[in-house]
Amino acid sequence: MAQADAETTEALCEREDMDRFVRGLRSADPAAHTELCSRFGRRLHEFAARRLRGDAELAEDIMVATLADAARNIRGYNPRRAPFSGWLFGIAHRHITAELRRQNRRKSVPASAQVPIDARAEQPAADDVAETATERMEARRQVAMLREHLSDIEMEVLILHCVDQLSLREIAQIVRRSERGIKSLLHRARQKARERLGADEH
Amino acid sequence: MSTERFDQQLACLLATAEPVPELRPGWEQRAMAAMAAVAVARPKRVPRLVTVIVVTLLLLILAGAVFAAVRYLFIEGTLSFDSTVGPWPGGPPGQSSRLLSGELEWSTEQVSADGADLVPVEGVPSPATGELAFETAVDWPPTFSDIWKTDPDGSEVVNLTARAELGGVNCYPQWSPDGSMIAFQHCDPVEGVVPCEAGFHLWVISADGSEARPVLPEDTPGTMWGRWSPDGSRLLCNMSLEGTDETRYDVAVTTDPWGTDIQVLPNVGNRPTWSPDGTMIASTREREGELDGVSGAWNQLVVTGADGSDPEVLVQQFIVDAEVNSFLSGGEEFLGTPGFDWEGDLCAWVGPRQPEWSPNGDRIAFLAAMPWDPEGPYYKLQIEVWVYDLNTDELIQVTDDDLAQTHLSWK
Repeated sequence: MAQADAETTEALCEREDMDRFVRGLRSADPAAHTELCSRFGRRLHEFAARRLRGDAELAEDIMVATLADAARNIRGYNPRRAPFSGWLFGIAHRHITAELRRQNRRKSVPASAQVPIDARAEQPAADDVAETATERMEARRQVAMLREHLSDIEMEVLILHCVDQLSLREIAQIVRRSERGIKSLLHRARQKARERLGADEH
Repeated sequence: MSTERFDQQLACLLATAEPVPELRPGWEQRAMAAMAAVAVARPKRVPRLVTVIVVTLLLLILAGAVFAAVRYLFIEGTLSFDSTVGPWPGGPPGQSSRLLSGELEWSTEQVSADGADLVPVEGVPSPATGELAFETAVDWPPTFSDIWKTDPDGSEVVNLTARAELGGVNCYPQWSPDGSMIAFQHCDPVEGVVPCEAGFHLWVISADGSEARPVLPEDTPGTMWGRWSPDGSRLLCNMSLEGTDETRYDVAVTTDPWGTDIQVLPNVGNRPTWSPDGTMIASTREREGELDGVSGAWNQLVVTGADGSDPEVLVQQFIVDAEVNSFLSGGEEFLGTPGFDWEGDLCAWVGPRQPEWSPNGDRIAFLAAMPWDPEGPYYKLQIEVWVYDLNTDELIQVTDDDLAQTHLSWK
């Protein structure tokens, strides 16, 4: 009973904190902008970089654009319809989708995807490189296998949940599906991933 | 393996396969600058209530415009009239009705009269309350009649002229636009004289019958007709200066309902009627003239300004005195055929008569006699309904039969 009360109190505090935060953004309070940056900047960057094949610069651009969009359109945000993070990652998701579409239309390799020659000098020692590279190659092979057997949306939901640590409600907001549908998708994606990774070990 | 542990393992696998690069130093400043720029550029938000009011007003204006356009294009009003067989248009029995749609594709609907002695004329609805005013006649031609009113459902029937202790003939009730008064024609009973030949006067009576009085001074020989201006401030009527014969009610005047501000209207003829916006008056008049060297008279449908200025003849019919020729003209072109036989008593029905504006004011319906069929019976008086379109100057003949049409009205 006491534990339930504590949870309720905590939820209320969180909601009040979020209300205060959103009010601050609506009044263009610099403190709220700083808080937006510190709360979500890194997560948005990771979210974008993971979907942009590790392009750090582009991911940063997407992150900045997302934060600016959020600051601009915060009056249109309705807390009753979606959690703030779901709304924010939804904006990032739309930016990323647009960017990927743009990249698909490009004929040449984008400058941002090219590795500068001096960046190679900062690479770790050869042994470390070999070890890391082997691990990464193995991980990439397994991920490629998963991508082969899971649909795009299943893979996306899996990444959003496991890596980006987003709740079902937030994921539903981002991919514009029902929460129940996301739950079902996630269950199916997990099952397929277990099967494939289990079979791969044997 | 638990779901939680599997999720962690999967996250690790995905993070290893696609490691996330570090953020460059100074990213926070960039993000803050972008948000600050947006905050500066953000326009002031209009309060939601103001937005709702503005949008509602715009929608209302749009709906009004659409309604007006639809009304103008498709609902130009319904024209109704009675058709009578007999030498006395408008007299019972044998009435029938016709309806004319806004597109001038008309259909007929015969309404047989009951032939009873008591002849209720169709009630005139009050624009304000919906109450109906009507007259009753106990015989034909009427020797006595009263103005009544009733609720729209037929209840609460009140004899207004009896309540005002007004005898004689009382007819043609016309509600004022605000529903507070009724203008009507009154004729005092005169010993040995048929009432409708004793001279009519325009009267007004309060809607509850408590007060009735003549509009023009009592020494006026006679006044006929009576139409309220759309704003209810003035009445339009014909006045006789010499006698009481209907054909001599040829002076048109406007007056306030108390008869204190009477203005004679030049160029305005018989049965004048206001346009729906009150800026014009349509009437019919007779002007002497000649056609092809033959003397006669032009019966004209004329439109003037509200003060009788700027007369414009829309339609005219040439009448040769006691001869047999008549033409109906629309603009330059003569319509109809010569060879009209007519009796002196019926000359009032030759030529444009009884103009009535359509609800949107772009058409005028009127009556005009057509050449008489010498092979038919004596009383076969062909009075047809015509419509003049003010926008296109087109003249349309609505009816073509051997009946006499009367009582034009648009709805």
